[in-house]
Amino acid sequence: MNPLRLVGLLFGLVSAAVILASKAVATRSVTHYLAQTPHDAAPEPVPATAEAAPATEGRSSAVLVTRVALGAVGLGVLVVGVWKVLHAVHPENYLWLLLWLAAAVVLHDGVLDPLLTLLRSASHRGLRRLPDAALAVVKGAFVLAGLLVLVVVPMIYAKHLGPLNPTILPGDYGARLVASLFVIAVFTAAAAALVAVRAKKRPRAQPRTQSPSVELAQR
Amino acid sequence: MTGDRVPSTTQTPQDREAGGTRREATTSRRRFVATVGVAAVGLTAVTAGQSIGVLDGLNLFGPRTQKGAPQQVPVNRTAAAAAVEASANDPAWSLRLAGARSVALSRTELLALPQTTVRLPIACVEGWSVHADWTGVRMRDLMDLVGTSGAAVRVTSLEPQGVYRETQLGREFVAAPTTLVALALNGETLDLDHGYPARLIAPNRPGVLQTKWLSTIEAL
Repeated sequence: MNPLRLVGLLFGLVSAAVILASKAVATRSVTHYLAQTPHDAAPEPVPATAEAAPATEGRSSAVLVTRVALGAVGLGVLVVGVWKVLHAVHPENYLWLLLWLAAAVVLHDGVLDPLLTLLRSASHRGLRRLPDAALAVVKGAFVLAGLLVLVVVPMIYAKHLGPLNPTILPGDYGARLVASLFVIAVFTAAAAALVAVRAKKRPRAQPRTQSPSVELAQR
Repeated sequence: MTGDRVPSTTQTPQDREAGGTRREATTSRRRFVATVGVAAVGLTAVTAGQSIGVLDGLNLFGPRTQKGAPQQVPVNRTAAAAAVEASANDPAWSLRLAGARSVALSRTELLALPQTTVRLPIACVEGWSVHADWTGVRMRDLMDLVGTSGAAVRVTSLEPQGVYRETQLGREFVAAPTTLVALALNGETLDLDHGYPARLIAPNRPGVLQTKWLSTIEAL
């Protein structure tokens, strides 16, 4: 193996380790900070879901069997995938394959995750006033918009560099991205408002004395 | 301290309805799966048009389009990029076939041979795939002409240089009835950027190996 490659590999591994370590420190301090705010320090009520509630024996064993079956299928697919990859990639390049796979983790944990944590803490105060259901809609829209940006920004960059011929990247992707984000924003605002209004109306229809779990059981 | 951090005494009626304390909203599994599902379907819908014709109108973010491309098939390497404009348009062009004996066929002579039309995709390793109707002469008929049946062949392009200037076809590709030296695409004379005067089209081959601007075909 070329010694330069070895140096590159070492550099990659060391930077991966540094990024992962700093990410762990950052996560710990953010968790620590969030735990200090008064309302977050209060114990979370256990949600009355089917899993937490005492279910019948048959049902829980069916859930277990389903989980084991799904897990076995997943494991099988993983083994086949690894087998195929090891055959498709030349053994000389196994280390590079490992580095590429690790790079995905590093990009996610070292770049994407801190960015999202920042975005989350920045939007935390404004967004948490929304009812739970409306907040879910807004979160979903952020995911959708974020993925769209991740897909389209490299295309805008490639177009900026200049495509090889007119049939490659023929569109005006910047304008389309802005328009799409605008459409997503409009639909999200409408859906969140609708959901928020419905969430506000619902409690009045129910007698006030009942607890949420009783309400759930009556449905 | 700001108002929204003051505990229970200033809770709104909604807060009390929600179970007494204002919880940090978490994302349920169902909502997460729904969000990912919507994102996957949405992104597929606005990009799949580059490979699936019926979705062409929705193709906002696919890097290729079928509509704007010559003969509805996108181009990766143009004749200009391959530096074959002069040699491909040369009226004296002929396809040299080498086997047990050698033959050189002009485009007119190739067109006089039995023609076959097949529907095969240009399946690019870059992630797009476009089906098209290709018309031309079967590779196995051409190899029969030079008296070499059942052999693998080497196909060479007019390109002066390039990684894919030369490719090889295994004997199973040569024998396949859908492997053609194509002369027409979607009912029209092959566009210069699609490999005029003649190109290779075979099933189960990545697009880069469907050699354009053919110059020679030799039995191995």
